[in-house]
Amino acid sequence: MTTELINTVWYACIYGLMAVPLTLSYRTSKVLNFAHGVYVTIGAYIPVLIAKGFGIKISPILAVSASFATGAIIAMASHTFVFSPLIKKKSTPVTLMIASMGLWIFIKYAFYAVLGTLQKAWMTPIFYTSPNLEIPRLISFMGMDIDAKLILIISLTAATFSLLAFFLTKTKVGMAIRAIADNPELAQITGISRDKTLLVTWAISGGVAAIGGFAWSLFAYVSPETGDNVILQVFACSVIGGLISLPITFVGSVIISSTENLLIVFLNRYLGVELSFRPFLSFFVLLLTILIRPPAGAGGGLPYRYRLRSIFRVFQREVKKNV
Amino acid sequence: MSAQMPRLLAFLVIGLVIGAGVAYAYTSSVMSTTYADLNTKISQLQSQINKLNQTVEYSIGVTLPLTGALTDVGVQWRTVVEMAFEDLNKEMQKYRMRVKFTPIIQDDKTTDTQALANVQTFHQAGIKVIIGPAASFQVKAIKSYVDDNKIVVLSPSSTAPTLAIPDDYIYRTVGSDAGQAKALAALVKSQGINKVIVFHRDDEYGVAFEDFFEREFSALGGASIGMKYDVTREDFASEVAQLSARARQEDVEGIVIITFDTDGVNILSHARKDSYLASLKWFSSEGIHGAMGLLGEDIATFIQKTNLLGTRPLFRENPLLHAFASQYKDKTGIDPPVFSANLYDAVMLAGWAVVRAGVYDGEAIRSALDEVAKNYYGVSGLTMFDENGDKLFQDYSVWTVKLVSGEYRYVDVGSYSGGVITLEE
Amino acid sequence: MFDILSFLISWLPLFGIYAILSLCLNMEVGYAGMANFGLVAFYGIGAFVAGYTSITIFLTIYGYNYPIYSPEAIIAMGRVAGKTPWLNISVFILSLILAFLIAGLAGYLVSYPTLRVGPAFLGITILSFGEMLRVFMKHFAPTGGAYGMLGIPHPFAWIPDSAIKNTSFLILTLAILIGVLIYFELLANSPYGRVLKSIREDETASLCIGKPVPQIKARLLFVASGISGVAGALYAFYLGAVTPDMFITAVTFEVWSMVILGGRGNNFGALLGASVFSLLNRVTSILNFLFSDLPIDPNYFRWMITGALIVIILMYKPKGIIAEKPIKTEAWKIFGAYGETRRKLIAAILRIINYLKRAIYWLIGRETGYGPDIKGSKRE
Repeated sequence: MTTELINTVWYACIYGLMAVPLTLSYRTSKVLNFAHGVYVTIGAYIPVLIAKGFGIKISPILAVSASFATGAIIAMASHTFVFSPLIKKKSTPVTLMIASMGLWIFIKYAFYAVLGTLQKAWMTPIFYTSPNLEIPRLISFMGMDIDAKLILIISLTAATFSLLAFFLTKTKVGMAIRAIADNPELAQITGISRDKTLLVTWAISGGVAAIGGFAWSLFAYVSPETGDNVILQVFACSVIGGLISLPITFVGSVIISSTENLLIVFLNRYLGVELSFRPFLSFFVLLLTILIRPPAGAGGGLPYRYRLRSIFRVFQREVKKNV
Repeated sequence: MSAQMPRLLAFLVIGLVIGAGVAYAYTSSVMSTTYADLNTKISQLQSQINKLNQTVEYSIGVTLPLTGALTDVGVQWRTVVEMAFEDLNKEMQKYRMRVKFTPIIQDDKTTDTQALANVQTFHQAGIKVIIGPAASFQVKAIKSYVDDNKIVVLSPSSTAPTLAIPDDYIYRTVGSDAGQAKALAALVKSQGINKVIVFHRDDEYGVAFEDFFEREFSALGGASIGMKYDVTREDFASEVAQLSARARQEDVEGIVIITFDTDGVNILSHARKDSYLASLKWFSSEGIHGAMGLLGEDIATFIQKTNLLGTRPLFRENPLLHAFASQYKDKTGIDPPVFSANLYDAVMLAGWAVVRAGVYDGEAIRSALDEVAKNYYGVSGLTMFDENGDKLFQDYSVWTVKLVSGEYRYVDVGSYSGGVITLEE
Repeated sequence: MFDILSFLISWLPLFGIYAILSLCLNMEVGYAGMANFGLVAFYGIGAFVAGYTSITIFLTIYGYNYPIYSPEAIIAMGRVAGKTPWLNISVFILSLILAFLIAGLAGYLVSYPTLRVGPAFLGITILSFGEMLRVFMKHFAPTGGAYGMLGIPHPFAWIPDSAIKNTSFLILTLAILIGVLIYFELLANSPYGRVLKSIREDETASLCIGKPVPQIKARLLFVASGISGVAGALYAFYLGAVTPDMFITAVTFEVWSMVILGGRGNNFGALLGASVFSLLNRVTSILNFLFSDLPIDPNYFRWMITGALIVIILMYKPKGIIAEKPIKTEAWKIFGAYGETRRKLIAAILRIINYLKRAIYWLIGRETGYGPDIKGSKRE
């Protein structure tokens, strides 16, 4: 059972690192960003490319900072060249979403072109690979041998999220981000520049997503499709968080990861459900979760059962007032 | 007087235009009848002279999975295709054939719709031979179109048994999975193992292979349990954990994995951490062969420990194959990927069939292809087709990963022919 | 070299199928504002229903008893497909009807949970439904599981000449497309269409003025999903094959791009988007023929161009190539832009006739008798 539990932790960290920035960017800019998967892919690839390009073993700290920087730069570029002009033209969220889809296709295949050229030039396969990291395999801890990568990922996740929490709650820029997210008009009246704040938000969300990609590359191999293959699960985590709450998004990633690693094993062992039902199950759990606890807010409005009741209440109040 | 002038001028101009038109039409019709015969005769002679002098250029369509799920292997196949066309043109020059073949390589994103669109584009461009799509579901999607339009398709890697259909335009330069399942079952049995778990993909390749394997293995007196995993994922940690639990529960002696390269490497990389799985014997199909991931220190030691043996469609005592493999390695720095011998031969067969047919026409090429394949011995051995258009003689070799002069490499340690496994010591 | 007719024969069926899909999506997204990310589910249901019905009926009538995915069944289907024209046609019609009903019913049932989670989450819930369906079909033995189905009888398999056979199918597809277009155009310009737009603009407001929003949405999902199912059935008959791997979420995203690029809330925009997208695929393939020996694969440029074009079009036309137009009510025909255009058009035609008349009069030397004279025609 320990293997399953360890896998759950792995996945919770990876999904959390990918889903939380997605929620953050949606909440602040109202762009349902399909290009998010590309940030993940590129973040996963940067350490690989550095290690292969220079023929070295890359240290984890260098790898994380390189990933973060690249993801941040690409996300900022997508804001500056695509989202910001479109927001200035007062585009609807749907238009922004399709623009992000176009961006996704563009960056993805541009990256393919880069990888294809590099593979030819370096004469080494890089379409399916993993980074060459400078860390020991096992670490002895209180008499137990623990996978060093597991320690690395847990500490990486903890560090990223505590820094993010500190940044969003304690610094001025972080508070500006939250203000823009909650009420853009009011925030702009107080003198916060919406465009600059969004730029910072994109940098953070792209960077953290890229760290998520790096975390993935610690665990499994990376390919140019890595981000796209996990993006549906990542969206599922964000939706459980209502696309608005960062902590609940993390809870969502714990839920999805335990579904994929614990529930399926349980079902397979005792009910004989095929293992290949794994994606079926994660989406089923997603549906159950949002039916039991419908996520409120985030431009979604309230579901009907709440809405009808509240309209009825308003109606009653009006009647009472008039009578 | 002056008021009449512009009006008269206008009449004149209109009259001139109409008159000129009528006169031109009349003269041209007379002229054309006089010179038509002469012109056609001259052009016929000219084209005959040109035909004798000029090199005829044929385009051959290639649709490969350069992006999407099979991107890893697709990108490597692109090099194989380029090499094959280079060699084909060299051969043509050697025999003084005034023929040149150019590949038109299109990406099909590993999807059915794009594969069909590619085939339709090739058809527009007048291409009658297509090397192509990799996955069986893509071949199914284009089947009706190519049958209707008489385009010959040679797929190097589609092994689905459901595509073994006589009298169609689809040829496969690789044997159906049924044969390999038999070889693998014999291999497992020869290692003295009677109960295995077959851990396989949930697409047609995996499901069909497991089906055949179970049939063949129980005919040999063994028992097998199928376990399948979803292939759209990139990571199979929880599946491997469950495989370990199931193996313990059922008390099996061996594991058979039916995977492609990317998922297979991932599965092995998780399995190596599990001590129980490491104590079992492992077997594999050809799908994982050639993956660079298996040559890494971690997985290679796991393979040593579990004595992983696999089968693959290959006629191994073949000097052509060794020449091809070393040529490929010089060019790219890596060993040729799975099915590259079949892909290479598909290109060669297509080229020679076109030359033999003499005309670039689907029906003629199809009948020429059967003849050419009967008399051809290529990188993948004898290329003759059976009545379904699949490779008739498919031998299998047994492969593993071994330490050769300081580094891990793929080595073939045995072969399967005529129902007998022979392993070298 | 370039044969326009055979190009049309090969391009139009796929275009027709995608156009039907984008019309359906346009009804949901453009008119009602429902972000349906699971279009592919209903498309797939239609394809599977059509494949299963037609193959099963044929095998039963001809007395074969093979499993639906076995090579024997496929070979048998190839043998009997062209024997009985009436059977082919009637099975085809029956499959289309069944595909419509079953896919529509699925849409109606899916609407129950999805409409209750709020509009922003409708998309992701239907998307989940689509993925769940794909995984389920892989394990569902009656339709062949992972094998899928091959040898679906073409409705015109009895015509020996393949060109005529394909042209007939093409005409049939286009006829269905035009039917769907007319139906949706009528629907969109009816009071029902206006309610849909009101829901899109403000759900709460429509709810407050007494419109049964959930029922209206559910009914729309029934119709649009059913017609997507018909498109799926056409796809199955066109290819002759159905496998679960064909119905991935990328298909949905492609149709989405078509609708948004062409212009949402506008049926002709959806049509234009579908044609632009599918033509773009063909046109960019020229790159492969021109630059076959570059160090970088031209295929990557093809897809990059597609992505860049989406972004560029949205930059300059955020509402799509054809922007949304007002609903054609009776009042609009008289007072609105439509009446205005009609008036202008009639005036322009009258003016041209007038000029022509005067030119002819001048040529034959007659006074026009009204209006200012053309320069030079004045007598001294």
